[in-house]
Amino acid sequence: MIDVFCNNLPLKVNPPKMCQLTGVVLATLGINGAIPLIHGSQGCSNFVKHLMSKHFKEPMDIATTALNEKVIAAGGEKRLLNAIKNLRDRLDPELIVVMTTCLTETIGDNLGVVKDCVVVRTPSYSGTHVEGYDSAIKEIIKFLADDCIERKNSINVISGFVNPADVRELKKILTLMGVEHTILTDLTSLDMPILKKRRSDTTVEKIRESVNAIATFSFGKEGKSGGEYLEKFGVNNLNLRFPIGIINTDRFLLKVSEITGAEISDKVVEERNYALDGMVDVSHVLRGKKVAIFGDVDKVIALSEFAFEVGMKVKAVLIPVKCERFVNEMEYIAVKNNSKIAVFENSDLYTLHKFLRDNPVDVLIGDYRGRYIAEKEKIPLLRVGFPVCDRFGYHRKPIFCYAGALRMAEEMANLIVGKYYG
Amino acid sequence: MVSLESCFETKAGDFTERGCSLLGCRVVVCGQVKNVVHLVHSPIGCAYYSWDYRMDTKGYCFTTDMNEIDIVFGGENKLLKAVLLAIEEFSPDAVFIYETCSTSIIGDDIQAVAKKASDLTGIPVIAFNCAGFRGKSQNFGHRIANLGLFNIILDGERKEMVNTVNLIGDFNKKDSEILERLFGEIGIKVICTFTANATIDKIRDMKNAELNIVMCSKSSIFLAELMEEKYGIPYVELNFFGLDNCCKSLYKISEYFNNLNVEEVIHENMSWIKMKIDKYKNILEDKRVFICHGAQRAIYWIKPFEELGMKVVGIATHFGGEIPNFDGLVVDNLSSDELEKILEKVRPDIVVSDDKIRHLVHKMSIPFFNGRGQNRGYSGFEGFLNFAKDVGETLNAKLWYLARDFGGFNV
Repeated sequence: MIDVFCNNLPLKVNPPKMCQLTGVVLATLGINGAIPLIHGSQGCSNFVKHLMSKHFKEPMDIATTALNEKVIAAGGEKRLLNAIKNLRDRLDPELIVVMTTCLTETIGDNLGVVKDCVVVRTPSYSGTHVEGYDSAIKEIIKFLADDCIERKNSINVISGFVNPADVRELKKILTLMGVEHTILTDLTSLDMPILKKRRSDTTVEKIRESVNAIATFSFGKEGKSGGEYLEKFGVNNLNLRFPIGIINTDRFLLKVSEITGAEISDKVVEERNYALDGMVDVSHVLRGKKVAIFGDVDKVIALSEFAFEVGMKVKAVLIPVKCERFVNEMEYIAVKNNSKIAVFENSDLYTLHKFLRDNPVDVLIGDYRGRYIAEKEKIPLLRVGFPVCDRFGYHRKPIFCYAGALRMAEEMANLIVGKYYG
Repeated sequence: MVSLESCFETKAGDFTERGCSLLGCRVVVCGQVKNVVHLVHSPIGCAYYSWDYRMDTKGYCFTTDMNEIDIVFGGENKLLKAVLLAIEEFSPDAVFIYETCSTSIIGDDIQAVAKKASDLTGIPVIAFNCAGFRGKSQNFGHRIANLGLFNIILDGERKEMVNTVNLIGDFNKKDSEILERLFGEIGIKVICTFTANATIDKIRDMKNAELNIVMCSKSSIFLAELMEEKYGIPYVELNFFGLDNCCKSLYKISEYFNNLNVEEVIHENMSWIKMKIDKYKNILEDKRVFICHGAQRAIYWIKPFEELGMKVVGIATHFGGEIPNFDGLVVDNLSSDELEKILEKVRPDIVVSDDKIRHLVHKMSIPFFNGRGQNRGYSGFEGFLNFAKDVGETLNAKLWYLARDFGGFNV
């Protein structure tokens, strides 16, 4: 029971998607001592840096080859090699991840000349930040991974394009279960204390050893290719739903327990019960409330399930790309929950705005770009994901695992109470 | 005086703070013109990142969202359809089309599309050839923006209006509000603040002014030159940061007009402001400032800090240029790692910059102050009081002392 609206107009107004560069830069910054290098005009690095530092409120180092007209005529390869040399001389990084841009892809730079760096092909005209993140993880593993020497009872987790808080939740819960793990890549490095430089638990060495793990957990499209690549080395590939909401988190932890043999400890059960305690307390506020969700494909799917879990009704979902899998999943969710959902694919927030004007909802879930709808239609916006630039601390608020479910349920309830009861 | 080459090219491998022409054109200059569809003809990246780049703007993001097929077959048709759709849906005063690296390289003729769309609809459609690879920094984008917007000024005949000016190169709404009020007091009307409060109608009327006042010469002197050439409107470079600069600038303006009550306004303002500023002086006395701005603001800020009894110990610019009457440390286009090293060495009491390096400075636990004045303006007399207050409060915040004492719990 879904209505599918696909927007094929030549004009997009407020599309909630970024280009591949953001995804690659994010994945790279989660590696200890790694530097992202954008091969293109200097605007690309400045734009990405500015957006990310507005969200994470952290200093960002993103290098650029700063191409200009003169260089383009001769091709940019020489300048790229020059940039890599300069970076090595100046900072001696452990890893350099080179990204291409529209410019260098269109003029057809030959990147075969780069031997000692990871190269990710990221023209803005194909894919989004999700694809960028996915292929970055794969290319980084591909560049570093050797053959498996000795299988260890440890797992790899590819967190997806999420916030430091979410990775922190993953680490916390896996540690509570006593599971040895490597996060690919550890985004908690984007939330450092004062006076501390960026540092990550995921080192180049750890990534090299990821082939020795027994399994790789990835969520949805984000990290799928990385998991598939590691499968070649005999590492089990487990592609699950994002651990958003109680049920999805349960499924994730049960799978982890099944694979590693680790028990779900009392501490974890306690964490779950804390969350459920809080969620039950707000359930009378959330029950029956209508919600619209937008964002990246797999997060929207998991968030929809979470919304039904707390008794809300999902009325509209929107993704910025075309995706058949998404439509099928939403159809399944709609039928299972006996609801009718408007599904927008390849769409933009202006389209959602027009829809919500005639079909109002009680809460909107998405990143801060939803603020135009929220302000005009007076719909409270639950800020999740990336980017959230107009508020503080949202990179420290999880959506993952039990703590994330609790936080979202409580914050949504507060938004609704604030709106209707003052 | 330390002189720099006008603008070094960015070195390959730098962590530069510089942006591209698209940034200069779309974000800095054009972005604030109201009721205009700012259509970025690009794949998603450029359009998304330039959307609300400045924290104080709120606008929609319009893009043709070019995909692989469009790049192969060209995007002119798509662009034309997009422009027509946007006009139909949003009925704007004008449409601005911005080109980007990819659409420029594949050779989309956005000027032709703009002309066609304008002919079809009768609404001004202006195309900016501001692909990111053009020029050494965003500064080139300012130039392209000036040239493009001059087309709007050219529309219609000049009808000179007495006692009117334009403020050119002021991009801060709060600053422009203060200055428009101040000019009102001395008997002058501001036709357009370019582009902090600009609309298409205001820009069109700019040609009626008697005098152009250029605030940020780096970004906008080109427009003033064009207007002088075409209409014979004189221009003068002034700034209103600090009491001394403010008074001098007002006297300078009075040379161009008759019967302005400049003396009176200066006297009135000075009488109350001195007393209020003195309150902050004991906090600020002898404190060491490091300025990190695009060249223009770096120059303008030296004097006001001195008036507060502070000492500027270093200046880092983004786009080069000369810093007159200054004999301290001057560096240009720093990589953020280099900036960090310099700050560690200089250890200033406060750093003034814009949001780009805010978090780097915060991490080092050095007091940071946003010189752009996003919450309130720093121009004019009342602006200077805001300035003194904000600098004083920033410096005096307890948190810095706590943070620097880190790790010790030495309470």
